[in-house]
Amino acid sequence: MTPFRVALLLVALCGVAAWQVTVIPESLMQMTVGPVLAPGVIVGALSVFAVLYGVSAWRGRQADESQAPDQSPLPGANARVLSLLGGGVAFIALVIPLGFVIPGTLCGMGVAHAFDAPLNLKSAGICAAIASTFWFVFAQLLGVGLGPALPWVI
Amino acid sequence: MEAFDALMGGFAIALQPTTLMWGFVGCFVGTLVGVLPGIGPALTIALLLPLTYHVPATSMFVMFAGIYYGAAYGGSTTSILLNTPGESAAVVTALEGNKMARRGRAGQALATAAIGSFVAGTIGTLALTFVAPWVVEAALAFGPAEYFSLMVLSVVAVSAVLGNSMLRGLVALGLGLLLGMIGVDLQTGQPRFTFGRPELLDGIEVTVAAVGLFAVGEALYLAWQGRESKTGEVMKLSGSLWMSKSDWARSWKPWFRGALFGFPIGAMPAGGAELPTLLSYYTEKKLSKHPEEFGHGAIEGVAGPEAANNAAAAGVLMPLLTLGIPTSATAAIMLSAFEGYGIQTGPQLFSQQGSLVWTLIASLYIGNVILLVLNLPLVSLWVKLLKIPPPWLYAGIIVISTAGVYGAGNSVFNVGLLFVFGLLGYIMRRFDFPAAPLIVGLILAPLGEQSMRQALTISQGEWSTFFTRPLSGSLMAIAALLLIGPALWRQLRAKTSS
Amino acid sequence: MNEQNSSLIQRRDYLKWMGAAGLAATGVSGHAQSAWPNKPIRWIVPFAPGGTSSIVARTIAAELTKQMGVAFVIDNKGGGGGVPAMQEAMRLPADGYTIVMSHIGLMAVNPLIYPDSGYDVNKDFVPVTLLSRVPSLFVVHKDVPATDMKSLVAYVKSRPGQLNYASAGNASAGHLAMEALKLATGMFITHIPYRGTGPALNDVLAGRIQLFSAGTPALLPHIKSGALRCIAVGTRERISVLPDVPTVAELGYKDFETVQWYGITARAGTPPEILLKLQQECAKAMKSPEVIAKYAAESAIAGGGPSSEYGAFIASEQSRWKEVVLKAEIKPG
Repeated sequence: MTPFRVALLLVALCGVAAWQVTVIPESLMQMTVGPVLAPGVIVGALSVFAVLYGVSAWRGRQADESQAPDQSPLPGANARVLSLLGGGVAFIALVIPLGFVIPGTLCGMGVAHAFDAPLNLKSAGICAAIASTFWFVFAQLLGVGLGPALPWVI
Repeated sequence: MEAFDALMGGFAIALQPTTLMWGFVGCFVGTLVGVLPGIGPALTIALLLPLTYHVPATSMFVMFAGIYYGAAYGGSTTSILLNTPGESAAVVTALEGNKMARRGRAGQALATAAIGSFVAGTIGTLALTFVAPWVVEAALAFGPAEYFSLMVLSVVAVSAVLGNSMLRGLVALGLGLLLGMIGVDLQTGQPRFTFGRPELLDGIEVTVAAVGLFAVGEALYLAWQGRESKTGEVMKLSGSLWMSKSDWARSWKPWFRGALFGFPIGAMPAGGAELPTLLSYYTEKKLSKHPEEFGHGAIEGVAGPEAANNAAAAGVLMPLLTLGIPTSATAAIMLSAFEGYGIQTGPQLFSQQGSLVWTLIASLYIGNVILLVLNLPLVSLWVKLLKIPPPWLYAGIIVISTAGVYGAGNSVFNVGLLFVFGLLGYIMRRFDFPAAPLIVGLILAPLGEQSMRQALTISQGEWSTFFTRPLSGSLMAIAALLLIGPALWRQLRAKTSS
Repeated sequence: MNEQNSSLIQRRDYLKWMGAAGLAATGVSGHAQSAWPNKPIRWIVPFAPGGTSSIVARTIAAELTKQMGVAFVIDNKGGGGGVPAMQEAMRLPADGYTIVMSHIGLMAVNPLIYPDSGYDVNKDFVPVTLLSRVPSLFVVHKDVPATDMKSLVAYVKSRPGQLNYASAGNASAGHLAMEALKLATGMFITHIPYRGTGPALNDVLAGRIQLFSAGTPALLPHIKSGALRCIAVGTRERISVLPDVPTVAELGYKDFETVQWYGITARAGTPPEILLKLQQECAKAMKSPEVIAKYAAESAIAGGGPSSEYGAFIASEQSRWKEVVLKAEIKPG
């Protein structure tokens, strides 16, 4: 992942956006400015900025924090990122069937693991406590709609 | 001074021990729910409103006031401490506030936020008492053309938050504007950029984007770096928790200026609290004697926007009470709340239901005081949060953010969006793209486009309407001045000095 | 703690289909249908919390909870025109423990503008009872030189396309009402949508927009203060708070009726005894003093009639609005 690749991603995004702009159905209503003008202008401007950024990145003039002196990542960076995102995925996949607490615990464990906490019982315990507390305070006491805590009742 | 006497009368009714107690309860509960990222004041009030129906009539108002201000303050607390804006209006606070916290100045940041909110709330209540009719008339003069010009002015103000590189800041702004276009077009009903998904028909919620970019993005970046856990705690707490003399000296003017921004804009329909915070930040940066501190923890950058935020919250009350027009989602819910309390808003309100309304206004002021009294001592408690070891702290932050976003919309799609924005935030952080312009773009794009097209329809297609209408024209002129002014000024200085 | 236990049981039952086997509780849910209701009922409201619909829902829900002894839990699912809320209801079993708040947009307009929503409002859902009808008022700014419908129509016809009307959004009740009026009277007025009644009302009061249609509560104070003039009401009979204002129907446009309505709908396949019981309880709830007072404040007309009556009403509304939606080319908003 280098700045140049980011620029490429951006340009690709602009391409998709431009395609979407062309797909906007024409409105039969009469108006000075239709639904296409503003998105079109924005996509155009963003494309220009993206190209400028890409050119500048190609010339090596763009920042990448991973290269900065004491900012470079310690080994295992990608694993940590994936662990955090994995926690998120676990929550999304499991919250509807399993209620809030279990997916919340798994999510918390994923995040903690991303910060170098081992995936053990202690982690599970702490995260379960966090998730349960949040559920109790917010869903039970305050009525925020978090769904059931667990898929069964003890 | 009839209004003043009536206000005193209201105070007499509101200031009783049980009433005050319920006020404290309301404040505490409001802050608690407001702390949940993704649950802004509107939803907080909607959720906690039923609680107020169970308490005695005179206490209802004060409890409500406590909830209202508590919700606003809760969002600021997490902004400062955890870089997790609890609501979109707290995003600007996070910019400087969190930087201050990371330098060990969390206490000062929280204190200036609390005191600034109090000052702004007081000014707001005073304004409500004495000048409400004029402000409302002025707010009525703001039509779509004026809104569009205000948006243009705000885009210029965004330049203050563009960060180190203008190009990267513009990319972020452009991306935000593009994301703001997602959803159904108001004028024609055509879906745009929705890829056929019904969840996207209403666009991307700003709070989801803000929490994702700031909280999840930051966590991802720090996890990627892997250094957090080595130091053992998230941030050092050095020095006292109280504001120093220089802090006070640097804060008090931003408080007043922020309140001046927040109050009128809050009174306008669709004004909202985000715009005033942005304009306040811009102003403080330009006027500050320490501009280089901005981006690294300048206290003015917290004082001004927080005051603006709170003043906007008070400003919202004016059209609400005098005309029955809710100018934001929060106001709409307050309208239902007031109707539940038996207050019939509208032009006849002050003449027909005088004592009830003044009790409400007095209660709002008391709620403001309670907030200050309750939260200042709690600052040291909140700040202790930062001592939790990183794995558990961030686990807590992510889980609470997930809970907030999930609970606000009961939608798993939004949680997915949260993490997508988190990933985006990580990329942006790594390659030094500022996050604030994206959020601003997300907010401004739909409003700006909508206002522009409404204005054009009203003026039968005349583009000159933005310049020929006096108020709109002046705003455009100010925007132009701010844009080219500095460059012109430098040119002039160079010429005269050579 | 009883409430918490019963709500936990309710939630467990939703996920019964996941096979939470081996627990006695599943036996309890098996008896559910013969002793309805014996656990909390989920009431899906397809609006964000805090609006008029939520107020109506919460008021009635509080009454029903008192009457029947089980909690009626409001579940706000706003956004997407109500389509996601209905899709959610489709996922849940038709056992009488889920009801949906239906309204004009959901039942009459959505089928026309969201053809691929994945459900059919007439086949997959059955009406239970109408809850309320709120009259829509047609107002003009005080500077418009028209004092009644006849002069208004003449005024508009003399300057076609130059006058504007505001609405709270595309496919909102106010938008539909105005388009119906335009269709009936032949007026040509430009539509300017806003996000919500608040901003729209602001521009109408300032005089930038000349016409507006909305429910009584929002407009009444301004009519009384003279800032706006009410030309006509959209109900069949005159309303008590504005006895001097004629109805559109009596001005010569027969069968004209535009009201904003709310009702309760359940999933098709819910046992008829449950539907009947629910309808009867609602009728009873609407006679309680709190509900009567709340309705009077909104100038709302109570419902509570039998499901067949509500069904017929829905059908008539669907055909009435079909023409308006198609002619005015109304799209989602």
